Amino acid sequence: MLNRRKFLTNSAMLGAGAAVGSMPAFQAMAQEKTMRLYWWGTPNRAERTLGVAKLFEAANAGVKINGEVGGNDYWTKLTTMMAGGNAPDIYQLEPGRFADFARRGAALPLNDYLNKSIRTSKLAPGVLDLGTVDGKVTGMPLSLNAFALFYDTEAFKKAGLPPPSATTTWDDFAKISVELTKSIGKKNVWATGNCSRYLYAFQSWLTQRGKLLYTPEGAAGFTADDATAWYTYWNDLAKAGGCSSAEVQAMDKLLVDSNPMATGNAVMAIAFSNQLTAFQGVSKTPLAISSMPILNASAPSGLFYRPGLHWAIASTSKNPELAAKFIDYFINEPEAGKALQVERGVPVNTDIQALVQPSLDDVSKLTVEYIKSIEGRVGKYPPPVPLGASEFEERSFRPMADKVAFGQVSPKEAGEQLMADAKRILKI
Amino acid sequence: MASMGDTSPDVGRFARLQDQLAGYGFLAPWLIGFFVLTLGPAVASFYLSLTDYSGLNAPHWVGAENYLRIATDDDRFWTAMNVTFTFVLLSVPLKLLFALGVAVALNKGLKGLSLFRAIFYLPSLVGGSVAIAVLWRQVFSGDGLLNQALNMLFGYEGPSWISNPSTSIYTLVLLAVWQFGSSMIIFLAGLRQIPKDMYEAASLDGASPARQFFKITLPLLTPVIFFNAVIITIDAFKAFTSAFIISDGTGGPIDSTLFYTLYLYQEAFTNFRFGYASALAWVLVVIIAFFTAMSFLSARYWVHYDD
Repeated sequence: MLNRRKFLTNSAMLGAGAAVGSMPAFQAMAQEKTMRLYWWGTPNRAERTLGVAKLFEAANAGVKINGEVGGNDYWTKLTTMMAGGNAPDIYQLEPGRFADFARRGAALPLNDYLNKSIRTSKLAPGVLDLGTVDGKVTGMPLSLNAFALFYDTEAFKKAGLPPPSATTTWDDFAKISVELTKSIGKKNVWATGNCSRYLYAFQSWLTQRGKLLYTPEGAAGFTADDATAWYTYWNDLAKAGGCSSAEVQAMDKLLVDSNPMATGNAVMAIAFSNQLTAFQGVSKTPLAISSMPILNASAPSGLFYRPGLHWAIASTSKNPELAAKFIDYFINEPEAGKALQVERGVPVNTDIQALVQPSLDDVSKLTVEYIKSIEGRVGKYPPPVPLGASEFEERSFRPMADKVAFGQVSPKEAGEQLMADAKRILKI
Repeated sequence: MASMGDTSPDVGRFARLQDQLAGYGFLAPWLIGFFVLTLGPAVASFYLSLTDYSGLNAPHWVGAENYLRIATDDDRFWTAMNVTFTFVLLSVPLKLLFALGVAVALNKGLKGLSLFRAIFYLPSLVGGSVAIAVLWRQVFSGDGLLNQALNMLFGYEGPSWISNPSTSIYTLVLLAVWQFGSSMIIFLAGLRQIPKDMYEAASLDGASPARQFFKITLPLLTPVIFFNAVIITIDAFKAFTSAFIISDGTGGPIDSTLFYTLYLYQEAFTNFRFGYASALAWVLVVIIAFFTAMSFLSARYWVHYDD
């Protein structure tokens, strides 16, 4: 039985043990370093990512990596951890929020580690630019993707319509959508979702017109008229019956499984190329991939290679050197590349691209081929997003599209209100 | 030399002190919880409400700026107020009426009373949960259960109640009213306390059941009605989960379900304005305190205590 004396003796021994343990000599003996890794995504992504973590642990004795997967609450948890001073060492970001975190000082600049811990010689040209904010590389792009148009091949076969291609213009797209919807002839099924609330689609539309979504100075790079034209296009298409109703569209949370194409309300979707696998996963019929509609043959395509996701190192990380090594391993190590394949998009390392290509399934091959096929047409990567960009997207751009769809405001009013919001919300 | 008389108060004091210490010892779990988990954060949040704290950078003192912005320059604050007051004004009276109605019906000496009581209480146990909010989404979506039923019974093609900005708030009101169980239990207990002989005397005098209800049941039940009203009102102001789950944290469609607490949450955790969100929280405290105080002030005119 534990009496008082025993208790005291035990406590004393524990205390002594702790004191000894904190002495440098003993620390060197038990040199286990623990790093936390945080991302969001499907179980498939978790399996692949943890696979790489295991490989890294095996290659680096005494290193332990704890993976944490976030869901819908990813950003909440991340900011809470940061505010609480226990941010994960390495965390995942995406282009829409990347600069927001970088500018708030939450991500460690990687410049000191480049070409040392992080090898860059095999990276595809321009990759580091995709992780640069204010002249510093603050996140490592993990993959490349691009905007794309997915379509259900069966629906087009049944309708006897030619599927969209690289030469399909927005006008063609509207005509095809109206015809296709008629040919499908089912209640609550349209050719496409109402894409007016997808900021990336609007960005592409703007790029085709020689405009930017955000200027390098961090202001809106478009005018009220541009926004009005965008809302008008989709409003007209909705009225003609070519795209989903407001009610269906309002249910889309911009996740793959809430997209009208995934819920069976549409047979086309404007999305990111690396999502084809996920879309195919919820579709019974074979899907195909093409580029977004164009303005005309001579205008810019509106396409650019964009980073699928980034790894960032927390500015508070106690093991920045080790974290940098992990990132290097993640993007440059052949074994890691094999484990990851193209789940996050096409690898940024060209050797890895070539290495994984033969082992890919047919759907993944389609996405890699698509990325290669647009090589001659891609434009420059746009400037990083300003502070408040995610707020602008979630609190103004998307609700505005819904307001137009529900008939609460006209496209013209929506354009003006959007500009007013942009002025209020966006900061450098 | 000190006499016995001199020392005994000291001994008594010591014993009392020991008693008090023991008392505080037993209170410690609660006291620690209150100071560390409730009062501490509350004080911290008041300080943060006077700063520009972003969650990532150190807070800077900005004085009353956050409060000024709430009052003068924040459209979404007023949207959130509008949604919240709509919700409170609809859900509180409906829930009270419903709970009272069911309690009165159950009090009629129904067979299997305890079973019905349990069944009616069930939604209150599970209603606040994430699973029910998800279920709600299924029931009230475009091709959900409700519309299928409407279509089968009346051939009526209902809208998607959840994703239509003009109806979405009512689905949340309904969800709140559905959780009437705990108020009902309290009403039932109150009804049991009303002396039977009053009803006997009234019926001897020829008072109809309706008259008995309005002249005996309601007046004697006012303390319980008052208690329930205060609790339900505070709960309604603080409602969060249902809107958060049903709109996936957006308060959409078009901010039609933007509860005050949801707006506060968005400002803090998605827009990185912890300072501003803290100010919003304190404004909510003041609003709830105001309405609670008003209820207490009004109580003296309509609540009858049995003394």
